[in-house]
Amino acid sequence: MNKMKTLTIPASALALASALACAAGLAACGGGGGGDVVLGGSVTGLNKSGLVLANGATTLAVAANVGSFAFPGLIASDANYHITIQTQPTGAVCQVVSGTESGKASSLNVTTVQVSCLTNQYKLGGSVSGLSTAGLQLVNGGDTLAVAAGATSFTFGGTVGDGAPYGVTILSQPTGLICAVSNGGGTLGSADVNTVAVACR
Amino acid sequence: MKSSHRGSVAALSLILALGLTACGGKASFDVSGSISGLNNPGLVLANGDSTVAPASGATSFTFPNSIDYGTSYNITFQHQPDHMTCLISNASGSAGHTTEIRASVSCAQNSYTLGGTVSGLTVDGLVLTNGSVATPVTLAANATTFVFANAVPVGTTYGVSVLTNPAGLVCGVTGGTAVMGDAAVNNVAVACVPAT
Repeated sequence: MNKMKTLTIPASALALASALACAAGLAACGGGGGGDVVLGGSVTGLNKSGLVLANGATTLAVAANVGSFAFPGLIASDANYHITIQTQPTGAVCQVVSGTESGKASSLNVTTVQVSCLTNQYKLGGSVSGLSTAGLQLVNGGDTLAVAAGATSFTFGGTVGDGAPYGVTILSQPTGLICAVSNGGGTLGSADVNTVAVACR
Repeated sequence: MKSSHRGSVAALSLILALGLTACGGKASFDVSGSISGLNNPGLVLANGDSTVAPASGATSFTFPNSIDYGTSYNITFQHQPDHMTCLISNASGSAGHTTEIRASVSCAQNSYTLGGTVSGLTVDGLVLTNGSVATPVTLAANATTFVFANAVPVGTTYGVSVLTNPAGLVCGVTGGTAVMGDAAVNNVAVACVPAT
């Protein structure tokens, strides 16, 4: 069978031809390329770069903020596949959802592999001085924190993702005092932030 | 002859009704459905003249009057809940077309944009953020207004602050922290002055 000609016939017929070729013991069956079936799937929560997926010796770098992936080489319609994480993204952890990582291809494209990622989360907080009365409420966007009278430190209940911005502002002042925030904004690194300073007088 | 004809129609109806019962068919149907995301009061659903007002937190509804087999229904919104917008699917049909009338109402909190004015911005590079809510907004030189790409749900706090000052300027925010109400915010004021 002439390969150039098989490329011009429909995919379904191509798959059948490929299966027949395999049955006949010809070369290029299975493995990481030379087949006719796409190997791919979906990605959720990937906001960081650096992810590399592997199927055996074949690897695929997956960019941040994408929702799907497909290995560049087609696999054979009878090939076994097994997707693993070769390199984790910087500042996030991904996993291949159990039960979707491996299988055997058919004549249909494989789109069922699911990769789920979570950006590393860190705490945001700092120090408070002069807070002798109640009523101080700090916010970081939609995250609100009431700080009690006498407090000398604070930590928001919510977390901030690796590399995300933050900006602490005052929603309500304590009774009879005026507080000001310094060092309240920045971009989170890969550690908790405890350097926001709130001074009240 | 006329009265006899009417009698046979009545008899036929009775037979049909008995036949339906014998087959397990129902004579009347509740007009009902499921609700998701409803956490504010004020929702009123209508089916013709009939209404039902599911309370905040309700996960299902049923109109007070059931309808007969073959009667058409069309559930509409007479009033949306406070601060929310609901959508409905499988809202209309004919009773008995499916075993149960099962409409589906899903509600989501309304969101409004957050923005304001800028003065004194003579160079590029001002970056504003609303806490850790994606995405910070970067302003070019001479911008006089800004708006964040992400809308803020009603009842959620926002806090606009300067993430990066432009070179040679110091910018301050006034009126940048509050709880989102039922309208877009466009009065957060950012003023930039030369750094000393």
